[in-house]
This record gives sequence, structure tokens and C-alpha cells, in this order.
Amino acid sequence: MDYALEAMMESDEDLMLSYSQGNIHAFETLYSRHKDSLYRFLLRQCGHTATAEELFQDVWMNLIRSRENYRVQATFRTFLYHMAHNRLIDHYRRKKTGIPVSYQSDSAPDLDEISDCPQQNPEVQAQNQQLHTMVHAAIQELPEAQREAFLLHEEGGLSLNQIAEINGVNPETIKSRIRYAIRKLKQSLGDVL
Amino acid sequence: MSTDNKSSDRHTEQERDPGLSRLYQESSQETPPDRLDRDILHYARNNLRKRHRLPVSPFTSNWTIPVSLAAVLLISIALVPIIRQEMQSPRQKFKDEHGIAATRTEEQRRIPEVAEGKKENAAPLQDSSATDTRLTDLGKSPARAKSTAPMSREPLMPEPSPALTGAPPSPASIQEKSTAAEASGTTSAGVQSDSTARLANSGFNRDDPESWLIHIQKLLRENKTAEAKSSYQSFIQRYPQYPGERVLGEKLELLTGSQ
Repeated sequence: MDYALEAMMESDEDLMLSYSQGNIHAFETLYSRHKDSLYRFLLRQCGHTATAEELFQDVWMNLIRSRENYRVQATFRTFLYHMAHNRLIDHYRRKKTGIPVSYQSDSAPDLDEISDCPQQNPEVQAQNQQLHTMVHAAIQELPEAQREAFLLHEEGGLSLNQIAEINGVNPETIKSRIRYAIRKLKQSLGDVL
Repeated sequence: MSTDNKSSDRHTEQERDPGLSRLYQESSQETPPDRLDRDILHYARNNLRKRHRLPVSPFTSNWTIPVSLAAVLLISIALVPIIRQEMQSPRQKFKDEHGIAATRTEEQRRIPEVAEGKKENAAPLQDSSATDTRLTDLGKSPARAKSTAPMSREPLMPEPSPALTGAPPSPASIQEKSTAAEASGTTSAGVQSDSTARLANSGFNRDDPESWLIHIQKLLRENKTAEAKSSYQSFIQRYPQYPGERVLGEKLELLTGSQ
């Protein structure tokens, strides 16, 4: 059987273990599986392409360096996004603004805070590009913690428990953050949905 | 655990808005640039090579310690006989080279037996000195007897000690013996047995240089310098290369010179 096909059938955890034992093809498969979603997650979170690229590269390099210490304690996806989350927190710390307040507070902000978000013209929304821009803009308007929970859920495909584990908070908190994020996005996108 | 996961998944699905999810998926098509892909894959490959090269290095391998220990052990074992050989005395070397050790052991074993037997019974002692006694009984001079005696037992001394040959002792030596006997409290009847014992004690094996040297030293102690010198000359003739005997020779020279 072709190795590429065989590798595609293996789980992420097996591929990571295989790479830690020296199989570069396992890493290539793993990278191709997760690179796009991770890149988008970081891009949405930081909002700058150059910064997202830098963070993306750092996350994968950290993963490569720590391959020998990898143990299957959680899913590979959780492991990868945990590293991404930690790198993001470092990035926030280095910025003058520090870690966003939304990460430090479990309580979600009132929905009224974003009630004045500009409603988009339905004619403009008809155009795909504009629609995408609008979605991205609406996501960018979310507080960082809610945005991260939403993106980990939508982009990373992680469960509430996994997101809670990455953030080191109660799953209920994550549930709450996602709920608020969805409600705000619905409000922002209005008739498009 | 699985119940928790199912519960979590159910909650996750509850929190998902299908319309919003579809819209988000449609709007999110960005991918990392090819340049980044190449860099990361290159880094992954290099890191793998670097880490895999390390165990090959002889300084990080686990086999170095046991192999070193085994080598040290082997060298130590191989060195033991060499060191032992080096530590051997020059005389022992000489004996080993000339095959003297075996003869000496045999002779040494015999002399104490003879000495022991003498105390209980005089007959074995007479047998032990029979070689020399028989020669005199046959009327041969010791010098003539030497030519007929086996090479190993052939004395090179021109005049063997009276004690060895069994020849009648000189008046001076009888006087000496009787004085010694009186001093030690033995009776005049015991003089004969005492002289026999001394004969056995002074008997030495000429094939054994050590025994011979002891005999010469004994003669010196007994102030028989001329006899000692004569015996020493015979010794030097027989064992010209015997190590460490220059001191004794010089001592003899000094003694004879002073006389």
C-alpha cells in the first residue's frame, strides 16, 4: 500500500508518535491535515497576516522541538491548539496592552455592548467577497476569549471540554463564551444568516 | 469518561448554529503561504536528522562504558603474569633458565628427611652420605672419585670438606667438636652422633647454588676462610654467571687478604 494512503488512515496521535520516532512522512501528513485550520485560527485571533504567520511558524517549530516528549495524554488536536493558545498568550503579553481582559473574566459582556455594530447593507452582503469580509469583521469585533472559544469550536473542531482544557477554565465558561459569541455574530450579520 | 465526552459533544452541537457555521466555513479559505510550508517542513526534516545523528556519536552511546570496563579488565588480567615475571628475583630467573628449581626442591626435601632420620636411627644417615663414604671405602681419592661420579653430583672442589667425604676428622676438628660438646653439655659418647648430625647439616647439593652459597657462608661463620674461598672458587667455576655473588667474593678476598 502507498505510504501516503496508509498515513492518511492513521490517527493524528499515531502520526505524531511515528514522527517522534523519526518518520518525516508522518509529520508531512500531520502538517497537511492541520495547517490550514491552525493558520486561520491564528489569523482570526490576531488580525494581522504577518503576525499570524510568525505565530503559526512558532507553533509548528515548538511542536517539532518537543516531538520527543510527546505522550498521548490528549488528542493531538488539543495538544496543537494548546500550544497555539500559549503562543497567543505570549503574544498578548508582549504587546503593550497585555492579556485581554476577556481572558481574565469568566463573565461575558452584555450583549448591548455590541448592539451598535454597524448593520451591513443586504445588497453588499450579496457579494461573496463582501460577505466574507463582513463575517471576518464581525468575528474580529468579538472579545478575544469569546472569539477564541468560537474559533476553536468552529475552526479547530474541538469539543467544549477540550476548549476548556486548553483555556484552563470550566467547560461551562466555554459554553457560555460560545453562546455569547454566536449571539453577537447573529446580531452583527443580521439578515445574512 | 465516554459519557462525559458524549455529553460534551451534545452540548457542543447545541451551541452550534448551522447557518453561522456554514457562513463561517464559506468565508474562511485562507491558507498559509507556500514559503511557510517549505520552511516548516525543512525545519522538521533537519531537526530529525540532527537528533538522529546524536546516538551514532561515540561519546553519547551507551556501549562505551561497558566496553571500557571490559578492556581495562582484560588488560589487567594480561598484565598479571608479566608483572609477576618482572618481579622475580634475578636468582630465580637464573634458576628457571638453568632448570635448577626442580633439583633443588627434590634435594631440599631429602636433606631434612635425612636429618630427621638421624636423630632416631643413625643407619639412614650413613646411607645418605654413602656416596661419598663408599668412594673412600673403595680406596679412591676424592679427586678420582669425582670422575666416576654422575655429573650432577660431581663436586668441583679439589678438596671436599672432611665432613662431606666422611674422612677421619683432623685432631683440631676433634678438639673443636669436643669443646663444643662440652659447652653444650653433651657427653663424650655423644660426640660421634653430634658430628654425624653436623655432617648431615653441612651436606649441600652442588646442583643447588643457593644451598652451596649457604654452605660457603656457614664456613665463613665457622672461620674456615680458606675452605670457604676454595669452595667459592669452585662455585664461580660452576656458576660463572650466577647473579649477586660478587659481594661474597669481595668479602672472601678481604678476609684472605687480611690473613
